[in-house]
Formats: sequence, C-alpha cells, structure tokens
Amino acid sequence: MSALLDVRDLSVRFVTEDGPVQAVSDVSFQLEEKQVLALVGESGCGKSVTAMSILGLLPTSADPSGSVSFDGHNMLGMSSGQMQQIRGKEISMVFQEPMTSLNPVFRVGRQVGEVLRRHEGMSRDAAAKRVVELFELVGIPAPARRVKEYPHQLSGGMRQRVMIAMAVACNPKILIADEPTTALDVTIQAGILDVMRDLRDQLGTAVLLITHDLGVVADIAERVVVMYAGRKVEEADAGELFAHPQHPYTMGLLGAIPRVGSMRGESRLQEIPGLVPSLSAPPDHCVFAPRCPRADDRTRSELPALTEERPDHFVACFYPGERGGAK
Amino acid sequence: MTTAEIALTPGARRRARLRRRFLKRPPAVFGLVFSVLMVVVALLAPVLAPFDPAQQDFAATLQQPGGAHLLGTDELGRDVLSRIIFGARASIQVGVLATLLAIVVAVPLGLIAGYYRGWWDPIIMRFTDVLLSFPFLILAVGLAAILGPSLMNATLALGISQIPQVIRVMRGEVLGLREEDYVAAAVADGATDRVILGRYILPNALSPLLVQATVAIPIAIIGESLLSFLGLGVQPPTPSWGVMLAGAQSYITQGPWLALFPGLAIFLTTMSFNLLGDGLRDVLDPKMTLV
Amino acid sequence: MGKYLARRVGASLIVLFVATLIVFAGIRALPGGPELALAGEERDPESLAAIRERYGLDDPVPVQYWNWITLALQGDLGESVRTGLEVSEIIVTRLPVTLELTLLSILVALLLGIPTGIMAAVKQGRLSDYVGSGVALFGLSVPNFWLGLMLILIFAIYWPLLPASGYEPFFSNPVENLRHMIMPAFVLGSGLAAVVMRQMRSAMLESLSEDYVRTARSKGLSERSVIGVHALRNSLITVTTIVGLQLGVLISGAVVTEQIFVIPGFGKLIVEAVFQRDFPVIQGVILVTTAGYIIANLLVDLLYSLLNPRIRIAGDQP
Repeated sequence: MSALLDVRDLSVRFVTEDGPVQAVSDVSFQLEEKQVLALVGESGCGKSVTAMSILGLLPTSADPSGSVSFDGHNMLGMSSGQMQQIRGKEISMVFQEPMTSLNPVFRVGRQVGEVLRRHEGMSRDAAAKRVVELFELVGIPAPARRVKEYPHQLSGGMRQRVMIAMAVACNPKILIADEPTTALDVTIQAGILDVMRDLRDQLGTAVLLITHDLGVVADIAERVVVMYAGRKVEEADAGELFAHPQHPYTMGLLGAIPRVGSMRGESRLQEIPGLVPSLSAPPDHCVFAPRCPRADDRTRSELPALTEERPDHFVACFYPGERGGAK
Repeated sequence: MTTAEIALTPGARRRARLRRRFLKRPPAVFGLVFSVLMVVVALLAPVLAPFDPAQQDFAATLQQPGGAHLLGTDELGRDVLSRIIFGARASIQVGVLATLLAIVVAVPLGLIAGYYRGWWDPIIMRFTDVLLSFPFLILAVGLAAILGPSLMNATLALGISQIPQVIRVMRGEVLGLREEDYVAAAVADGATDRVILGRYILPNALSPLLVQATVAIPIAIIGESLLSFLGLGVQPPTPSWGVMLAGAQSYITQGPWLALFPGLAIFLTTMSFNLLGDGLRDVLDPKMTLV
Repeated sequence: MGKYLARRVGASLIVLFVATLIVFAGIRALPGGPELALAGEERDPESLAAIRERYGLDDPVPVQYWNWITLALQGDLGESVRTGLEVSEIIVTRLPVTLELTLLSILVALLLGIPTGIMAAVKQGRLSDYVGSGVALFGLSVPNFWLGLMLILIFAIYWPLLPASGYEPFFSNPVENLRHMIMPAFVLGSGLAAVVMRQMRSAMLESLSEDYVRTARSKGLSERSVIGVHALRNSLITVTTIVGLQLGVLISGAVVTEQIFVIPGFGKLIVEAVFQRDFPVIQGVILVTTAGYIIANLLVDLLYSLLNPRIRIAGDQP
C-alpha cells in the first residue's frame, strides 16, 4: 500500500552568517491515510524543520534535499504556484503559538474564511456561514459572536481551536500539528487533543503530530518516530515503543535507562545531561554519543544505520535494547 | 562570583564577533573611515587648508575650480576649499556638542523614567512631549529672538530637540533590562539602585545609545547647516557650509560650484555617519528601529 | 478606544498648556522687556505706557498670561510691528500656502516611500533592495535646501521647465500652482520619503518574519495576498506613528524650502520676522505652529487607534 506522504532521505541545511547548520540529516518515514504519526524529540532536534519542509515553509536560508512525496509528486521540487494549491487544501498546518500565528488586525472569522474563499471559491457570505459551522465543529462556544472578534479578544485555547478550524476548513488529507498544545495550559491541552482526535475520526484526516511531550504521544499517537540532532533514531508503533524502547535516547526520555556497570536499576526519572548539539555538516558518527552512557570508540567514529530490531520497530544504534547487546 | 556577575561576563568574545561582522560590511566601514576623516579634517583645519578662509582676493573672484584654487573661489575671492575645510569645524563641533548635550540630559532622565517609573515616568514623558512640540527650527528662532542668533544658540536648539528621542530610546531599553534575571539577582544580593543602574543596566543599554548617537550627529549637522543657511546659526565671516550655501544662492548662475561643493560636503559627512549608524545597528541588533 | 482617546486628548491639552507657558515666558524674557518688544517703532514714554495699558503689562503675571491666552484664543495676536497689520490676518493669509506645501510633500513622501519600502523588504538582499535603500540613504543625507538649489539649477536654469520661485494660489490657477509647487514639494518631501521608505522596509521585514505570515502562507494564499494584505496592513500601522514623529522636521524643512523657492508662506514669514525683530509676529507664529503641531499629532494618534484593533477594541487578553 503506498503511503499518503512519503518522506525519503530528507536533509535540511541552513546557511547562516556564522556558518552552515545541518538541521535534518537523511530522515525518512511514511504517513498512512487516517494515521496519527508523532515526531518526537527535544527542542532543536529538527522535528519542526522537518514539518515545515513538507509544506515548503522554510526560510530562504534553508537548503532542503531528498524527497517528500505526496500524491505521487515530490513537493520539494514544486513551484510556488503548485505549493499554493496544496497548502490549506490538501495539507494544512497548525502551529505552536496561537497568539502570534493569527493576524492581530483581522477578525478571526475572516481569517478562517480566507481559506474557503481561496480554495473552494466561496463567496463572502457562504464562507461566513461555513466558518460558524467550523467553529461549532471545533467546540468554540457562541460561534456566531466569536467569528467577529479579533485574536486578542480570545483565550489561548480558543485561538488554537480557531487555528484548527482554519486548518480543517477544506477537509485536507493531512493535518500537520507542530507542538499544538505546548503553549497552552495543561488543563486546556486535553481539550485540544480531543478536538484533533474527533476531527480525525469524523473527517478521516491523517495527522502528523510534532511534539516533545511524551504524554501527548501516549494520548493520541498511533505510530512514533523519535528524532535526535536531525536524525531519526527510532520508529515504532506507540504501544510497542513505550513497552520496549530500543534506543538509549528513547529510554532516557522514558526515564528508564540502565547504566552500564551499575548494580542498581534506577527507577527515578533520569535527566539526560547535556544539550542537543547543533551540527554544521551531516554527521559521520552516532549523534547521541556525547550523551550516551553506552558510547564507545565505535559509536564515536561510525554512523549507525537503521535496523529492524523487533518486528516493525526500527532503531539506529550499535547497542540497542535493554541489555545493550553488541551487533 | 555572585549570580549577578555571571551576566557581565566580558563581552570580549562578543565584541570580537561584532567587530568581525562589522568589518564584513563595506558601506559601514566606509562610513566609519569617512566620519573619522571628517573629524580629523575639522581638528587639523589650520594645517590642511591651503589658504586662509577669510582672505579676500579681488583679483580672483568667482574663479572656476582648478589651478591654485582647487574648488574655485567665491564672490570675494576666498578659496572655496579652505572655507569648506574650516566649515567642517563648525559642523562637526555642533554635531558632536548638540548630541552630547542631548545625551547628558536625556540619559539620566530616560534611566529614571524607565527604572523608577512611578510618577516619574508620566512626568518625564509629558516633558518629552512638550519638547517634541517645538520643532528645532522654532526653538532656534525663539532663542535667536531672545538672545540673538549665534552658533551657541543653534547648538542649544539642536541639542534640546534631540533630547526626546534619546529619552525614548533609553527608557525603552531600561524597561526591558530591568526585567532581566540578573537584575533580580542583584536586588536579592542587596545591591543599591546606583549599583544596579551603573553596573548592570547602563552598560547593557549602551548599544542602542551608541547607534542613536551616530544618527543624532548627522541630524544635528544638517540642522546646523540649515540654521546657518537661514542666518540663525554661525554668523559670517566664520565659514560654515550652511553660510556658504546661503551666499551661493545669489550667484547660482555665475558660480554653480559655490552651491555644489558645500552641499556635497554636508551630504558626504552626513551620509558617512548614517552608514556608520546603519552598520552598527545591523551588527548589534537588526530589529532596532531608528527614527 | 474612548478611554485611550480621552487619555491622549488630556495629555495633549497638558502639553499645549505647558507649551503656551513656555512661549509666554519667552516673550517676557525678551531683551528690554515685553513692552519694548511690542512697541515697534514708537519708543517714547507715552507709546510705551499705552502698550503697557493695552497688553496689561502692569498686572500680576498670572493675570497677564490669562489675558494673553484669552486674547489669543479670540484671534487677537497683536499687530505686526513692521506693517501694523493684524498678526492673525497675516497668519491667515500665509498659512494655507504652507499647509498646501506640507500636504503635498507628505503625499510625495508616501507615494515614493511606501512602494519602495515594500519592494526593498520583499526583495531583501537583492539588487532592488540595495538600490532602494541606497536612494533612501541619499534622500536622508541630502540637506534638502541644497537639493532645492541643485534642482533649481537643473530644472529652472539649465533646462527651463519649471519656475524657480514664486507662487500661484491653487484656486485661481491650479496648473500654475502645481508647476510652482512640484519642486518645493519634492524637495521637502524627499527627506520624509527616505524615512518612510526605511521604516516601511523595516516594518515589512518584521511583519514578514512574524508567525501570522507563515500561517497565511500555510493556507495556500498567493504571495501577493500574503505580502499585500497580511503583512502590509500591520506595517502601515507602524509607519503611521513614524510619520507623526517626523512632522516637526517637516515644519523645519518647510521654512527653508519657502526661503529658497520664495514661497509666501508661514515659514518665510517667521524668518523675516526674526530679522525684523517683529515680536508680535514671531510670537503669533510660534504659538500657532506649536498648537498646530500638537493637534496634528493628536490626529495621528487618532488615526493609529482607528487602524489598530488592539486599541480600538479592548480584549480579554492584552
């Protein structure tokens, strides 16, 4: 079965005044129809850049390579005219900061209606009516009143619902959600995730969820891709990943990394020391080595390839699994 | 090392990086070089000028540029080049003094308004508004009416008219800086206001101040030439580019070079300071908006 | 918005009050005292006494101020020492000329500055940006009176296209009026155009890097829509405030522009008055200019609050 979205060997390099930055290196994954796939990792691991490159929303200093196939075409090579046909209609996106992601000088109803008028050719009145329906769909109370308001008049949770309404307005096949709940209160987060799950059930939209929050992953994701320093280090179905994490980084995230040489099994939450590195070129050795308790000369000089350690469960590590068995 | 001192870690590395980025920009470097050049010219005028700027020579009036008089002579036979070199003195002097005046008055006011807030802030802001409602020309006219036109009055008027902008810049910076963690840490350490302002806030507010100064100087230079042009600034026979332009008006057809060169001098000087200011701003913080 | 406006009007009134105080103090600081200044030609004791009587100069200072300000509000600003004409009359004749010059130059500045600023921002780093920014820097650094002289040289002398000086009232002869006003308006507006261009560019660059522009693109809107609708609207609001701040510079520039092009406006009036020591005129012009400037700024504030929904409509979250 061919996937809805097929990302192959995606690499993104940025050209900055202080030198090149390799944000993403050879990342590949597939998103199936109606699937909820989560890209997980700490800040700076390249997951947002990956998401942005799908829709071509990277700044001009970015240099992407590889292929992002949607509907049989590589989106990386498309003209802006072609991209504009896809954005908002076939694939749409919800961003992290609802306050700044909405234009402060236009009413929210108009901003949502814009998508409808652009892609479905609706008249202003028809669009206005549909927007009210959409607001109801995403659970905004008193929708007829809200459409006339400005972003600064709405709370954070409601703004995010507006963003979601905007994203699903034209019934896209894929919804990319970049840290949709990170900027919101924990109490509001659950509501937003519910909205997204309901929409997926009702509209059949596939969701590519970008997050650093494993709680969110556990809540809504079906399949998970773990990223670190721009590389994919692990991929599995959600349940499988939580039950049998293979990569030391994933284990660290889940707080259950057994230390080599330690007699006691630590069950406390372990903080992984250090910060995600910023690379200036594609890596030639294991990117996690500086922080990995299993690092040795091999991991510091060779780049581990993805292997299928368990059924449908891929890892890029020389010493994966509970016992860190060497290959 | 207290927690607050960490924030003051020498910007030696930062300075080097900024210097490198600045030098990568040719217009900014040009601006720096030329501005310094003009200051040097102003300082060394007696040494550099080929003729005495006041020396009249009725045998050589309105001579075209070339020969002994590189830039020609005016209607009284005075050498244009020498007058331009000496004119730099008036312009640079006013430019720097007016800006200094503005800084000396405005920085403390801006610091107070931004740091202490309370009822200081609205008062100082209203004061700024009042100052703003007098365009520098009106101020100069007023001062000239009361005290008579002079270079001192022009400097005063120009300096005063720059105060509001510097207050705004300082206040804006201080408002942001006082929220920084290292300030809170210093307060917790028991530092007095004076220490906080002097050691933590002021040094960090220097960059926008510096940029504002490099913008204020050309404004003052143009202002001086404008006032001198109208007769409200430098009084003849002291040469000033503005005075030269005023004189050039009557002889525009017979001696167009008389209008061309002083204006060119003003233009190049102003532009180099502007380029310098732009370069500094680009390197220090591209998002800084200048007026 | 009502509250915001009320605050701004209140602040403006305070500023206006203080400004008039300063002008009043200035008059009393004149050498020889106000009566000598107001007397003009006749300096004999009787005339001086008459002056003191007329302007109430023997009254306590606050009373003097009150008299002075109430007279001014009624339109009595005294008489010109030189011509004996009512100052208010002189002002009324000259003011429209300067107003026209100022408005035309603002128009020039906006027409030149806004499109170039937008283009420079959109094509940042490319040739159009460098050229546009370079021209703006030029306009900013060029002393406008020198520009005026150079333009007169080119367009009136070497290449006689436009008149070098003079003025024709608009309503009697629009074409001639504009022919006379083109160069002055351009000269006066060029500096402002440069500022507008740079501010527009910087505001657009800022807007274009904002998240909502990314959202607009993600919706599949055309670049023209993204730039011309979403980014532009926000930038225009920013630029409005800048223009307000530049009005003072514009006034200063108008004075010298009128001097060069011999336009019988306000600006020329005040320069003449200074050298003729015509204090009633000086006082009147300063008063009117300052009051006008404060009011103009208030109008700009009003415009800004109308354009910016965050101020126009109070929200749940600031």
